[in-house]
Amino acid sequence: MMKAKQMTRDKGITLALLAVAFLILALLPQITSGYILTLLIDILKFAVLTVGWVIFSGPSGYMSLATAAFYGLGFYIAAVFSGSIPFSLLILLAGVSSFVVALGVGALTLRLRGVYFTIFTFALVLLVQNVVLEVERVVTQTRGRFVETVSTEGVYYAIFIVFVLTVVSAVLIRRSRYGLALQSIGEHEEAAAHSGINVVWTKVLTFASSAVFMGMAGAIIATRRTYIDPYIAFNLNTSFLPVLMAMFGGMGNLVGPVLGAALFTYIGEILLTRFPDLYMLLFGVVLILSMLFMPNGILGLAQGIWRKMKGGGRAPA
Amino acid sequence: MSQKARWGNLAILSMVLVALVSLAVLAGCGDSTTTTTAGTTATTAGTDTTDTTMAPPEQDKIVIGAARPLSGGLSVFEGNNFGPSYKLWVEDVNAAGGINVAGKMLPIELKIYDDQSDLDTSMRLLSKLMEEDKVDFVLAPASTAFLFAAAGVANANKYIMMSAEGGATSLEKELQKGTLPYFFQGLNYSNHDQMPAWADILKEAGAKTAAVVYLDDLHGIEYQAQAAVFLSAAGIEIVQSTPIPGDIKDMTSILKQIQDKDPDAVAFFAYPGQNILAMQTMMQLDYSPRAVLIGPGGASQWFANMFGDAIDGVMFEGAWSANSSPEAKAYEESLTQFMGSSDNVDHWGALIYRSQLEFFQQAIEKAGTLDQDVIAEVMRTSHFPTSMSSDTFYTNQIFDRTSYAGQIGQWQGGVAEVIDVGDKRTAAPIYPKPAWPAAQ
Amino acid sequence: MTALRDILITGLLLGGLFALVSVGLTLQYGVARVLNVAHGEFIMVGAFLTFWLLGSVSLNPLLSLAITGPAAFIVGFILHKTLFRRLMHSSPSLDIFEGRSMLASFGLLYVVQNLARIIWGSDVEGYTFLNSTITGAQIPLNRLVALAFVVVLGGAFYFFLARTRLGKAIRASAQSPSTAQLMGVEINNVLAICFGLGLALAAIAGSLLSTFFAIQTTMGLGYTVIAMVVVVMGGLGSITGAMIGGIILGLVSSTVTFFHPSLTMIAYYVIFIVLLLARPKGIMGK
Repeated sequence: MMKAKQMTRDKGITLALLAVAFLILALLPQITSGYILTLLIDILKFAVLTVGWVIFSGPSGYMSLATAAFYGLGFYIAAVFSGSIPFSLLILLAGVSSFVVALGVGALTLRLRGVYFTIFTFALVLLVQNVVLEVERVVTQTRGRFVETVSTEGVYYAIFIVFVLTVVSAVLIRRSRYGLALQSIGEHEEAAAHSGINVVWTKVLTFASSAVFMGMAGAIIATRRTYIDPYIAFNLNTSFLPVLMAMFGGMGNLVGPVLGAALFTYIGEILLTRFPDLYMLLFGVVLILSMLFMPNGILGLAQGIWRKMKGGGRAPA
Repeated sequence: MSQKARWGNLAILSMVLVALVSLAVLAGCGDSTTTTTAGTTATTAGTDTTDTTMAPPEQDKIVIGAARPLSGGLSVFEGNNFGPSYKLWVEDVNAAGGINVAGKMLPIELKIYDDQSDLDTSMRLLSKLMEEDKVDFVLAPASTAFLFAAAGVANANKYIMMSAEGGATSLEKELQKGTLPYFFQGLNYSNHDQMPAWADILKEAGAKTAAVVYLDDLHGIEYQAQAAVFLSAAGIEIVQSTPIPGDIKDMTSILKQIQDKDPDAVAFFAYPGQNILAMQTMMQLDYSPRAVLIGPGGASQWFANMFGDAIDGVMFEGAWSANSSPEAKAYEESLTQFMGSSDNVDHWGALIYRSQLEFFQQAIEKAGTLDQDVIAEVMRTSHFPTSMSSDTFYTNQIFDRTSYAGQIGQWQGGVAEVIDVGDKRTAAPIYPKPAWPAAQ
Repeated sequence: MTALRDILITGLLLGGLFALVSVGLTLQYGVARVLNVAHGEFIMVGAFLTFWLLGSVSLNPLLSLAITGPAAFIVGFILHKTLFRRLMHSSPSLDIFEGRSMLASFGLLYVVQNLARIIWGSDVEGYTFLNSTITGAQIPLNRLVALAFVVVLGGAFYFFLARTRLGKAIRASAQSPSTAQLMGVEINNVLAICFGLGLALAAIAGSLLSTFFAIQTTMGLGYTVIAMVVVVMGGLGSITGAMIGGIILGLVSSTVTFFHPSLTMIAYYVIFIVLLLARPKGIMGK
């Protein structure tokens, strides 16, 4: 009885806190403007990419580095169609295109496992980057394209909505038939196949779903740039950072990746502006130390502290 | 995972989020209260200009900010090009007491962030400088793509932005539309500066054919296109035009194909990595074209030093020479002293960046205020003497071609010379280029 | 005919270079299970050490290999003994260790690159060394020397792994760490030695390629990408695979560069993707 009461109370507090965070984020452009919005746009962008990445790579254990390919696709959709169709339609189009392309990519990579899959997706980004570069040189005779910009506030709301959409979808997918199937694929793929799970379909569909949000984020962020080119759109950092952020935050559930994206970006910004010459050094040391001393990410560390505070009940891993 | 743990995690998340957001908002509010006052002073100063009696600003220093590539792929620019130029300028201005704004001497303080050669980071930091740090002026980031994006961001914030390492024909169209009233292009580039000059030089030398190797990049693509226009207008036929990727590891076959066609001139519109490879491969093949033009990097002293005697007769995009004027000579000496060696003196941009900043300082002093609109108007309309020309001015917010010390240079006996046809020339071109020295 | 000869010669020279850049990575992953993203940073360090030794004490670049290789070995040995070994013990499974060690090697990448920038700055550097050709076939001497080193090093490693006691221990560890331990192999030392050897090979590759390429403290990631592509194409952990993968990439590169240079990079990745789809575990993969 006591426990149940305690839980409802915890639940209530948490929901209230979440509602406050949501409200603050939603009303932020009314309170402030400029740099803080810009920083939050970047944080939300990384949160979308990281949660999107975790949708597929978290439970399945397949570490995808294709994020930049879908994100960059969004960039190019924005560059080609900006000004001719409404912003919301642009974002939707980017999501749909990423989904379709990811279906194809997913189908291609079915036979690949582990690191082979990882490096394949990595090479894919570079292939797309170089193909776009060559196509632009031959067809448009230049390297980049100009994009019509959208106001900071507009971009903020767009990325905020996509962020909420990403998190809600991630939760729904995780609890759905597909999410559970993906989990068992991650644990033991052969066993999952024998137990009647359609392994191929599950993998391809969740991979494509995760790409939707990456493409949307790309289309939104592209409108912050006056000019884009293949190196900017298909930047390898966009593939690596979400992985680092997810691990930094902890991948046990969806809270970790969001935390990871927010703190990683925020700490990065502070180090970057305070110690421009030693930024990378400090950042590298933080990464190494965090792997040594909090291998389960911030979430793992926080859970440990939480448990201690709550009187040392043994929580499941 | 148990229910309890899940709710615990969510609670952690929401607490952190709330803390982060409130921190950010608090920081923002704190800043905006202090800056509203700064904002009003700026506007009063702006309205004052109509009376021509300017009150000196209340502040006692000028803060200039920039997001520059201290690390990452573009960091070579900060080390060799605009980096030393703006730092030396600040040192010189402060040694003289500062910039005279309506009778008050204001020293300059620099606020430089590292953009890690990443566009998103660069733009975010540029916004931070303008919106949160409220610096008085900003300087441009490195490379053309960054410049394009930064010009838009600076204009939206009504900040003057002078180009650094970058500029391209595509930007001219934006300027002509009038959408970038705060943007000023300093560095010269292909279409009305360097390619016409090179065509004139080749025509004068009697060259009839040329080959072009270009990087599949904005720089390479535009230069190749402009070379095609101006060389054919000068009656020079382009016998081969080969695009190369940035990661090219071997150029033997490309250069052998060119060697077979034996054109009079060969141009490499690529970056230092590829240009060095091109030089080494030509030397290995003992293939010495009658004229060789090297793109970015070729104008730097370190590039010349790397090849020793073999650099003799190699042409480069640029250009200025210590022999251009006493001011240019003095600047080369002080830059050498500032950097501790002549290695990193760049005979393309260094003098232009310097002159741009000298021009800017005189514009501020003439305006007598720190108001960006007033200064921008002065910059658009005034003529000032600078280290590169006694009469420097902007035409449509781009430095007029007559303001430059030159367009194409050539290494002659270890010295960078300007070889343009006309009065900017400091030495006659050596044509044909001497053969490569015997391999050691 | 000359065209074909040129393509073959250039391709082999380039392939040797790609193989050289990659063998260290395959050794590290194959045995120590660390996908070392900082691999290219150690290539950069090797290149800069050689450049610096040439400039300061006029040490012949080829002799500098005797310094850069062992120095990198010691660094790698210590790194494994302190950092990666600890990570290995705290990771519940090999998959998790692979993820964590990759993240830690990212940290390493940042640290090494920042330190190098503090020491050597961010300029493009280079020097000319043996920059001539063997007359007739026009084979560049400096590249030929690099190829010779690849052949010698590759042969030496093959012999070492196949014939020596330590080599056998390494192979046993690569196949099954637990069995190797049961057989009395001091696994921790073996892994640390492998990691160290991987770094030593990276540094040697860097020293050699500084004799014909321009170098910069930001050059590392580009070589890491090449190495990953080659290693995965050849089959992770296989030295022979890395050699074959390197040569294939080299020949593809020289052929495409001959006909259509701007398609070179596209060709790299297309051949990689096609090969991997045909053989999902690499050329030498089982």
